[in-house]
Amino acid sequence: MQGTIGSGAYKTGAAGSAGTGSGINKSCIMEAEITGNRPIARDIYRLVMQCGDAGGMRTAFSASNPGQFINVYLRDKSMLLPRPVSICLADEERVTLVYRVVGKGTKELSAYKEGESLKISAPLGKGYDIGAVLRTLSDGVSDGLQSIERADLNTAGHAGKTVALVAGGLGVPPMLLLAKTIRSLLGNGARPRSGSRTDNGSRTDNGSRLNDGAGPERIRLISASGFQEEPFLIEELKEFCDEIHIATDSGTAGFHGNVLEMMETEGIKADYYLSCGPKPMLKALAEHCGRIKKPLQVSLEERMGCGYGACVGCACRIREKAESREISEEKKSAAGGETAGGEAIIRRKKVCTDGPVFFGDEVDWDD
Amino acid sequence: MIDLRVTIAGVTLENPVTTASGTFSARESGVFYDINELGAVITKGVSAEPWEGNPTPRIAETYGGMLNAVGLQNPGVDAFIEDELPYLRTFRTKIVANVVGKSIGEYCAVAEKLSETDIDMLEINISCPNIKEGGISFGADPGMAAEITREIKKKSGKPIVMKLTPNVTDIAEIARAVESEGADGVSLINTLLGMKIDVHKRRPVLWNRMGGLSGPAVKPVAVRMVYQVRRAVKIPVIGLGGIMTGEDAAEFLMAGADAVSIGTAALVDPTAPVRIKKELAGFMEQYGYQNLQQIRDALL
Repeated sequence: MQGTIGSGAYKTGAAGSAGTGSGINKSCIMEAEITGNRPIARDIYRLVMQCGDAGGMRTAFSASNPGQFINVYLRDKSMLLPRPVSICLADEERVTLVYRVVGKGTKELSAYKEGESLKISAPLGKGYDIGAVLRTLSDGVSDGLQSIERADLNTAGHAGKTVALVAGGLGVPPMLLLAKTIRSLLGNGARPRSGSRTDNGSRTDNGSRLNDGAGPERIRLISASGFQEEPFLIEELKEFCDEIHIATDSGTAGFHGNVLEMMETEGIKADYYLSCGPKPMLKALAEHCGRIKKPLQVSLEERMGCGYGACVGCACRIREKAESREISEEKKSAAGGETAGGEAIIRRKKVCTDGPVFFGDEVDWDD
Repeated sequence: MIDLRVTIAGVTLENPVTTASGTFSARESGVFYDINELGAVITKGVSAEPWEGNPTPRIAETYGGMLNAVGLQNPGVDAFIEDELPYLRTFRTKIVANVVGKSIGEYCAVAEKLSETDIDMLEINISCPNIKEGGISFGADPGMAAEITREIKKKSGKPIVMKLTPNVTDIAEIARAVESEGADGVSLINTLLGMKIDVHKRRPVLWNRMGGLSGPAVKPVAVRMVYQVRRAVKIPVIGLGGIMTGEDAAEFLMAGADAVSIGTAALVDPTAPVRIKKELAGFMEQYGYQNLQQIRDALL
């Protein structure tokens, strides 16, 4: 698993590697100034913070990768544990979180006001491996667990290929940084031009086609998002995605049903799938991608303790495939975990440091 | 000039601050502070064979504390010796390996293997359930605690510190029992057995139903037990349980501890062990304590 999921290797011009592990960081808990903390849907809040000059905050967040998260430290010390929240958007100027009020901690967070400070960590975890995405699309070969160093961004082999961002509920916010990053890496800028020719020229009720083919290197981004009843962040996703598909459980907007049902019904297809959302959705998507033999990366979630890899609270089950293992035969038997069919060893990995993003086909969903 | 040194079972620590087992991972924690600043690191529990740990959820938050039912996931003693120990040895700090097991035989096997390495000390976690006795923990009963101490002492070439469970009626009795069989020190407390129920989902939050409570919520119990054990035995005492600040560390020293371990605090603030050491030094300067013994003697 070493180096297979993006920890900054694919970012050109990045000053040093992102995430943890790059040396002693004495300012690991930073204070940011809140510039906004408002509801954008029922129980859903968007919190925007200004990066301060102290503590290396600008550097930390300019090097953040989509799929990473931060720890939020609450003021009320009776609530001991940090709250891990996915990064929705981040750069050296500001950080955006979108969270749902589900318990005491998030309830307190929702009461913090503009101008107040918030204690947060640097970006944590390993995000989506966009290098793997680009390489797979260029070569037409699924990377699986091969070790990846850098994407060759000059390859035009991925032209016309499609990437689907499949998200459910609070899995939608990290898709924003993901979509923005994919777009900016290809140097095409953010906003697709409107008014160009489309394949069939029509706008469906749900899937709005915004643009089709604004340049030879362009990857098509499809967003497929599911919500309980009220969609959010759709306008923001439209800035980076070519197609937007919305599903709601309640039927109040878009497709009535869940994301997988929508993808089936509307024939949404892609060459690569990137996903974040509830476990049942990720599991169903992994099964779907397994059947159609398309690559997938998923962002997992578990109750965390420390969020940085010390307490081993957030374990998940990851399959190490036989052909990718470099360890010797003796070590294999001592490596721990069960064998599944004699071919793969299942290891307990940490969602906070080995993940949260893993390849869909290496996750063992049954626990 | 403040002297923070303390000698436990013949091993001299540069300062009394150590990391509690299960809350420290050399590569991950070392990103936030210089491991050389610690008196000692106490490793994650090492078992004879790799242990997978419990299914999730393994963590639950409680008022002023947390429950964990991690289940002692670790890669086993062989992997520890091969992968973890060489990295720990690149630091000057003393290394205490925590040992876990399901049977006395397993504990002894680990103690024997680790005795052939250059670690400084062993901390024996006797909160583990004794499968042979139906799951009651090794440390729950003075007879069993004495027996396991005696057997490990035979196989161990290193000093052994017995980590006591607080889930007992009389912790002083347990401490006396392990002292009588040759324990070189005791550490306490391990976690208190606790539980959290989600009343909306109508089920326990942890997969294991019950888990270990740690953090500020347990500190009064831990301080009381260190106080009682200090007055029951002569061997060194490592105190832990909810230490969040230098003043908390001083409290344990004043109750009679020789050294302290920092656990849950580090989960909440990754720099906690080193910060607490600095705060303790500041406390000592404020009151004119020149060495740790003076704090231990200070209780009126």
